[in-house]
Amino acid sequence: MRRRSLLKKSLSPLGNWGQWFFFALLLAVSLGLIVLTRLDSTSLSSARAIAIDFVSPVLDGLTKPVIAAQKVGEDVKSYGALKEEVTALRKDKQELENWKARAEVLKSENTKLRELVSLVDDEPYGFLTVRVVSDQGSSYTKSMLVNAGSDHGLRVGMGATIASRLAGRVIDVGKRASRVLLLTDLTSRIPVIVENTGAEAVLSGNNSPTLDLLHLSPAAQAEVKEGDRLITSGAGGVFPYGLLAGRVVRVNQSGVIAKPVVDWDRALFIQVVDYNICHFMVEDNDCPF
Amino acid sequence: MTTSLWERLVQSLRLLFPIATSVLMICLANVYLPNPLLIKLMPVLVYPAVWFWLIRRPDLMHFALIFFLGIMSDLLSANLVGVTPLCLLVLYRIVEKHDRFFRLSSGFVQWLCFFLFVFTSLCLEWLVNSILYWNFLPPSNFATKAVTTALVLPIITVILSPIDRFILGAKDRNF
Repeated sequence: MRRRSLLKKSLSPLGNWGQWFFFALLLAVSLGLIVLTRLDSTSLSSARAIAIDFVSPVLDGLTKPVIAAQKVGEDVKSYGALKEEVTALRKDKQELENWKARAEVLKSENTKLRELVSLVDDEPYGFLTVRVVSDQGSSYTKSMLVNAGSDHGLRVGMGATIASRLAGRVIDVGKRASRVLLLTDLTSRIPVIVENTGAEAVLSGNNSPTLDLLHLSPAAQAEVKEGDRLITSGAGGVFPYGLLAGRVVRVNQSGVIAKPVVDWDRALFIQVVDYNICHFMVEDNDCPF
Repeated sequence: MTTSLWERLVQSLRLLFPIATSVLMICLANVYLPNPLLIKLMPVLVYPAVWFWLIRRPDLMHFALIFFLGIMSDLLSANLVGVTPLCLLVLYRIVEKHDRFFRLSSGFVQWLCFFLFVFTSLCLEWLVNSILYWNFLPPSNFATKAVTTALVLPIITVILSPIDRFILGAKDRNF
């Protein structure tokens, strides 16, 4: 116990009883924090923001060799399969050209129909591309840290996409780094509609690779089929309408199971959707964000 | 006088090594990994780091610093804040109470004790998350993490031992 004296002397002049009291206090604070973060997840968001700001340069530095190694691995792999890749790309190009021709016809038809019904367009939105510096989270939280924060215009609630497909939303924003909660997280809830039927529902994560489609009426559930696309409904004004969020993979008695359509393995960069419902508000005070 | 001040500054910086290496381990545990399997296998590196320093240099690991490390680990991993500091504080009290046993026991016995601690801590974390979110979360997550975290202890020991031996040095132990 002789070795134990250095920090005890310097950090606590209160003696043994003081040490015990301080120790018990820290235990109580730990227990209190567990309950507090569950009851109100936003209560510690500024502390989280400070922590991620503090370590993001370190994480950024530690991530660079990992990314470099990943790139080398991918390069070696792609050189090996170069011939097959060129053939596949040529085939894809042909298919895309066919789709492009079809899309141009549909676009012009769509424009005419929009003019006929005098449709008010959604506010156009942009993207901010950010780099993932950490994607660990804990065993019970599915999240990513990205290298941009309030200094770059990020706000809590913004949608995060990978290749125009919804991946999650921003939950903590520091000055130079932010945390994105993924669709698969247990606490993630996204308002969606089933594209084919127009039925509104909530896409909920459960910490597994699949998602649950909640709050779907029995009648609407009967119409849902495997393979149906789920797109953001825009309800609540957090996400724009029409972002692809998932695809139905199973419909049974207990409910509808969907899967995200995001390629997580390629999630080196994500695009944060710069969508602001407040553009529609007449008064600034009406803006909820 | 200048030399004395300089020596004291160097001495203070050297004494910060345990906390600095523990913070580095927390950062390493949160680094970007391209493979989902690697993410599942990633150990909770704060546990072996704190364990190592608590046994080798308990004089430099005040429980307030351990609490800070736990909070930092939870904040960065988006975990329920409080679980890791709670487990680390309990570990501190156990190691303090059985200080002699841990210092004199063999490496294998120490490793077994560490495995028991990590398994219990991660089991508690799983239980707390399952209860508070009222959802039966897959227990395989914590079991995998417990095994990888225990397996990484010898590696952490190999990495941190030279720091303990050469940078902190034997003479500092007389404090």
